[in-house]
Amino acid sequence: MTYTKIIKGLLFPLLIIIAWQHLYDNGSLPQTLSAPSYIADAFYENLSNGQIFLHTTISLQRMMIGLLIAIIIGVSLGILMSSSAITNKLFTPTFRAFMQISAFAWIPIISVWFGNSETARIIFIAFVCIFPIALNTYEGFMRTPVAYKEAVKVLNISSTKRIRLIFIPSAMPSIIAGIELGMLYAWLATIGAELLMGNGFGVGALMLAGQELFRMDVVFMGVVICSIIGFMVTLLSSILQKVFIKTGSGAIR
Amino acid sequence: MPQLTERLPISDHRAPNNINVPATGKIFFHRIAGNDFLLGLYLPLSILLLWQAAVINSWIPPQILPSPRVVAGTLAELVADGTLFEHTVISLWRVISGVAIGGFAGLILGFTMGLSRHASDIIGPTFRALALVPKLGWIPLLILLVGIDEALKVVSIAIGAAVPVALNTLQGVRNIPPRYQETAKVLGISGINYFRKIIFPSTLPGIITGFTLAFSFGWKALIAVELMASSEGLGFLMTWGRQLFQLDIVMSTVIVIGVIGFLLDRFLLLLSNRLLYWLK
Repeated sequence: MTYTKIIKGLLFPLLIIIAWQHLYDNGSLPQTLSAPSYIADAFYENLSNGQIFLHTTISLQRMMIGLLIAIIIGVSLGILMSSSAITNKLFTPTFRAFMQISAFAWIPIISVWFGNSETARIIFIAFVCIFPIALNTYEGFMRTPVAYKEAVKVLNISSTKRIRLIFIPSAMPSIIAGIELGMLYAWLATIGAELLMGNGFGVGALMLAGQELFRMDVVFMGVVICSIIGFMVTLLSSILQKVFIKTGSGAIR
Repeated sequence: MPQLTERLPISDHRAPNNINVPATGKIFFHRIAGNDFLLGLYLPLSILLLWQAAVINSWIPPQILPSPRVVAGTLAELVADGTLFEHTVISLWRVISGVAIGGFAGLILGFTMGLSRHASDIIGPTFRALALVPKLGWIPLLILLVGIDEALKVVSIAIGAAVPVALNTLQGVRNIPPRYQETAKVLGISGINYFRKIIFPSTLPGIITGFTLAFSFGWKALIAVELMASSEGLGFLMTWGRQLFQLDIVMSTVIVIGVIGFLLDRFLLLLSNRLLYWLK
């Protein structure tokens, strides 16, 4: 990225912020719509009293625990479904049927079964992420290139070796893509869980509290935090890709 | 960008042949199963049996897990008295109007960023930063801005819809093969005709992908919005059932949401195949 590009990219938000502040000071905007200076104040205040740190940590912790559970269950489920023709026919139709149901539709049921507890939130987050991870793992293993399979047959490689050297590396890009999607879903689900069955902690809860108190500045602050965490999640997923996908793995095109 | 990697479920039931299944097991299963469809029914049927067993032996109180028969009865009742239909229409209408508004904005954004380097340098970063906010994260802000009425549902769906449509349109414009542009230059096509004959048709697949994503996401997000603040629609029906502690209503609604999600997916797939017939 060149400097001119960065400057051009900053131009638009800066212009909006200046216009917004100016119009607010003029009194042309309603008082309820906060101004950038108030949002900056909210940031300063909540950073210095540790509120941002507290809520972000709690949100991230939830997200990571949910994601970890989802990776374990999702990858196993994907392997199970793709491991043989029988398990494929047994499990895949039901899996696809469940995938059609909007994940948020489970929230009322989860909240009846597990109450308004941390378990309920983590179960919801994990449940949301299992689907992309399992689907991509399944597809990764199902799409082992024919050339690889033929090579395995010709070379007569032992079964442990063929899994370790052929099938896992060839499915890896798809599995990683599933986990990346899972991370994005996890962050969405965390916010969803905190808004719909929250306990007052987490970034979602912070925004909800701001909304209930009509503190527009706090809500805007929450949106900015959401965007920053979203950015970190995409950054993390690109790192994941670099670390786990070796050059030359994956399907030959 | 994340939205580009979001995939629609691909119907793909190819049998795996990477791991050898013992032949005896195959034959055994096929004898009792008959065909693949029946094999697929084993799991849901055993879940149903387990559920019925749990209710009969009262392992779990009926307030927490109503019996399958009660759920089926409630579902039939809700269908028969038109409640379900009424709420479904309301929900679907919200999704359609939200996607229409958001999709239109997304098209404008996508074409602007795709056709002008300057525009993409200037608004691109801001757009991408805003796209990183989880779509539900906008809800508290929108409640303060537009209240909790109809506008809240439509605007939150519209925001969710604008992002995939804009990104896929942008991608589509960027990927127009240079030889099309050269042909247009040679033939002297320019201005509005250039847009109509070259840019739009070659971007159409991307636009349709964007709208398909927008619809399936919109349907999912709408349920969340309706759960938060609503007095009608399928999400409200669930909240209502939950408050009455009538889990049979909640479960019936979950089934309906799944069925509509499935039909929506099928419909969009058919529609995109029909619209893109010339690609094949």
